[in-house]
Amino acid sequence: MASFLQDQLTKRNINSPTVTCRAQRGIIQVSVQGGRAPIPPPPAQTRPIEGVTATAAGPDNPAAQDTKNDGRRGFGPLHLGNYTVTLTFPPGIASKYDTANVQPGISQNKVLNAGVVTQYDFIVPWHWIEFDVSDSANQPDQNVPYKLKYQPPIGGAWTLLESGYTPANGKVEKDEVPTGRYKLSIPILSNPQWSAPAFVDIGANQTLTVSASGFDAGETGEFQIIDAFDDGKVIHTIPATITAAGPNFQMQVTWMPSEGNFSALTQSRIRFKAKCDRSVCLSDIRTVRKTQILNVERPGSVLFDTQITAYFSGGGTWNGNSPVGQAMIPTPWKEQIVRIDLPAITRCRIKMQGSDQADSTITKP
Amino acid sequence: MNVENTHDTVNPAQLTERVTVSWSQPRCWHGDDVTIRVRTERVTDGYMIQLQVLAQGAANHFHQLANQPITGNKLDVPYTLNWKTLLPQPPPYPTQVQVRATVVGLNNVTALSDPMAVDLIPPLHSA
Repeated sequence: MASFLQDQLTKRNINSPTVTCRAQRGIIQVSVQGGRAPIPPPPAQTRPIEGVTATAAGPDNPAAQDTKNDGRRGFGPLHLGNYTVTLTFPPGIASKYDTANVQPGISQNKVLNAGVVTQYDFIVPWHWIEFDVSDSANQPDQNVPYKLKYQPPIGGAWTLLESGYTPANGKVEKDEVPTGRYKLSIPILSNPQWSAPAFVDIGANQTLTVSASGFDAGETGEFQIIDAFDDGKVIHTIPATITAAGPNFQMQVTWMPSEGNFSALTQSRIRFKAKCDRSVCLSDIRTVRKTQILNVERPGSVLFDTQITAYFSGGGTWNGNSPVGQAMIPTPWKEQIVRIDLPAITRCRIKMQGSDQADSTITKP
Repeated sequence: MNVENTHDTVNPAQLTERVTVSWSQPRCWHGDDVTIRVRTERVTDGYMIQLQVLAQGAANHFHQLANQPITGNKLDVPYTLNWKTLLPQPPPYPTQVQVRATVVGLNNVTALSDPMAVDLIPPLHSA
């Protein structure tokens, strides 16, 4: 650059043939550097800003020019005298910079001396945003998926700026960004809920719900019904979509469990695994039950109500009654009724019907 | 999660982790080999998992395994429930055991499994 300027000062200017004394001219060199607002950083942390319009006004008034990719722009050779260099920021980039706090000012006035380059240096604070993603031990979290969104100061819709994965330092940061609001969205499924407190009964609707934070409405995921003892064993899959739930989002499905859903399940315990994008959430365990019917009748086929305790092969029990002579016993999936107590009955005969075990008649002497 | 703010700000976005733990089967015989399955959410590879085995309802564990690192939010640990080597006292031994998993170094990331029935003799109501 210096040799170029020296050339300009010593060459004959073919556009100004009347100028004969090159030593009576000077060169203006404008440099525009930027750094994070509000306080300009040390020079080592600045970077050149391209596209800022510089205007030099004085004895000569050369045409305004934009800074190049090195943040510089030269004017001249110019006649000597006082020159004011003023920066203006084109509308396309103005909102990225704090133009009210340019240092030493948006305009600089200096005396242009003969035969030398007069430097006009500007430091421009730019706007920035930084999100520091960490785990609960405050360690940077790497490789976390995120979306960075922007909303203008006047409000309105959010615009997706970028999406990706956090780097090793966990920082999602951008310099030279327009003023406004920024939102870092990290997709997380949480708070898995079954609608039933403890059991999943075949033939009864179940609602599966997870809170969905950091997602957009309409994103698709799924609920996998899995073996509670082997999360790699998927029993059934239900597609799902992220929807609004008040001010938040959720993923929810209503599922009617059928016997066919559990053909691959060899015991009674299940979980659901909600999945969307790379986020996964495991639910608590529930017991799948299938209703078996126990008919209780007196001699002469008279149905009647009595107290019943049923014992299952998995170790659980059920206590209930047989209203109108029929007890609906919710039996854990793949388990069998191995014992029945009728504490109020001294003598009876019981016929059992169920698809999971042979019909049988039990006589209590 | 969403973290939102205006320009020119540094914004912490701290994630919460979760761990679940389960046995590989609902019931076993004393001496059986089973597997402890640990699954985590948002836990970085390399964090150590502490596993403690305890009788259902007990405050203190009777066995603590060597810590092992989690990889890909998953850790499967083979385990043998052998009372002769695990417990110094004579019978009766616990019939329902649980396992507690804790992510070492994270803030209160711990979970307790559902109980697994352990039989010394043929169970009373076995299929």
